[in-house]
Amino acid sequence: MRGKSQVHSGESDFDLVMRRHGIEVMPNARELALSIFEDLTRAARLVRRERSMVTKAAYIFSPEAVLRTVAEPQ
Amino acid sequence: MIALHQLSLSEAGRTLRAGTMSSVDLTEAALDRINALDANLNLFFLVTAERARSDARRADAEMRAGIDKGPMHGIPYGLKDILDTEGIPTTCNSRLFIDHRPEQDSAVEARLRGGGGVLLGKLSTSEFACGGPAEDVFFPVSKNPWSPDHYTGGSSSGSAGGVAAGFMRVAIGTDTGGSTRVPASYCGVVGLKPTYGLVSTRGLFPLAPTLDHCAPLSKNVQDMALLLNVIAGFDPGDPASVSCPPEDYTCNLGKSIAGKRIGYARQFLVEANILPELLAKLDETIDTLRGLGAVVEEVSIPDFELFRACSRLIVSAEAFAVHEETLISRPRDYGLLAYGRLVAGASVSGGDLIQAFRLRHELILAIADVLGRYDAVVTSTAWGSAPPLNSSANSPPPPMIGAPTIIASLTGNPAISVPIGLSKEGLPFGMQILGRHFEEAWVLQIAAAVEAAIGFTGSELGLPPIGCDLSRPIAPQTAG
Repeated sequence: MRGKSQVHSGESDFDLVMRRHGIEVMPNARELALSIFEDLTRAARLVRRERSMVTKAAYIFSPEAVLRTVAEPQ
Repeated sequence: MIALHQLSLSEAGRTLRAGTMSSVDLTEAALDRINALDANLNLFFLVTAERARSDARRADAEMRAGIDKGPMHGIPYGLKDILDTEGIPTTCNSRLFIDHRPEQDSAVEARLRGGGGVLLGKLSTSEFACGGPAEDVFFPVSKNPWSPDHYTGGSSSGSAGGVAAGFMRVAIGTDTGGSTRVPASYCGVVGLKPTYGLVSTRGLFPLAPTLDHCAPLSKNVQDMALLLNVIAGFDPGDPASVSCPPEDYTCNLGKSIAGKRIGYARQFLVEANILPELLAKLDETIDTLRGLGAVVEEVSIPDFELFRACSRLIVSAEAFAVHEETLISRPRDYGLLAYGRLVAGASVSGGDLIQAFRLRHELILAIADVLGRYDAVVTSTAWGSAPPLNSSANSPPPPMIGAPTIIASLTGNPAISVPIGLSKEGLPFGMQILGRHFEEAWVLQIAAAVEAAIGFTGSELGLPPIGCDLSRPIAPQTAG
């Protein structure tokens, strides 16, 4: 079964997440939602792998901060 | 003889101010064209004909009284139906909002209205700007004026298609990951995603608030610059709005780009499997830029997959936060595509989102580094031309793939899509030009140089093969 958890046998990660949010996924949307869930899981894995810099500034976003950073590279 | 729908903003403005044509003439010509053609294209959700006639009569009276409200005075335009309009339905193409009549105008509509513009109506969007096409939503799928068998792209489908069809010279869309620039590319018009914070998003129903932009579309680059002069500016009602001095975005148009340094992210496109025919057209355009004296070099930027992954997590998490309550309480009021995409956002954890914001910051720095060495970076706008409309509703739509437009969506840089010609199939291709934050004038300068050198927009080549018999010549003033 796609999206199946390694830990919670019998219930997939997808179903666990949806249950936690109180969402009963409409049956006709399940296949699409599951494929996007898997895409997001891959995206999260890729984003976590690319950790070249860990600073406080890296965890903050604001347009003004971006402009300051671009104007005065660290 | 030029038809009214082919008059640029400056041409129309001159004629209006000279009194040889009225805003009512211009507006009636637009309404005639919409009435004749839109039944087959589905680009408008609502035509506000009476409001348009009233706006036009007011504009004519003001001009006769010597009042000049600027480049949009007396000019027809359309708004994507995700931007609030006071007392006029704003549906987001959703059954949830089908009776929604906002009490206030969106900031961009307030500026256009204040500038004397003529609102023709509300333009099509995919449901909540979630992407499409989808056939199980309230309004029918928009069709591309270049070929009704092809999609306009989304989500600003009606804004791009409406400008391409000659219903109006300018329109407003929104852009979160390319929702204005990709349809602009598919429909052969100009689409600009301004710097994040330059144009207020107040009154725009959010998809992903830290990525949402209010984004204009136009027939040519000069129209775009004039429109931007009207809609750009600080809005204390938008927490993301940035206060910066007013600027004339037409100031660089027509100036030489000789000696300017342009980075061409060619390898980035090759690695992401761009359509070879589009790559060849892009290479030709790069040669044209070199012919104009620009110094163009290939540059390396981070992998598309990094931009895509980062964007997917942020859009999904933010959109889920916006829709969580109604996804649970009224799931059947969503179309399948929007529902599936939105509900999956529940799976993005707080940690995932923070990591995506962290990566976003690093990608901003990477692009800033490239733009420290080059005046602009160019890519294609999409990976190919407009996709065919698939009538088989049985196969589920794929997850969002994304386009090179995601780069500037994440980094907040200004980026414009400008047409560069047609495919062998006769469908438009677009080039994306990305500049430094708040350097829209420079981005517009390159786009204007490309437009002039290629000659697509100003020629018959740039007109979709529709409605030629509707060309209405300039008429003497008829409005009282």
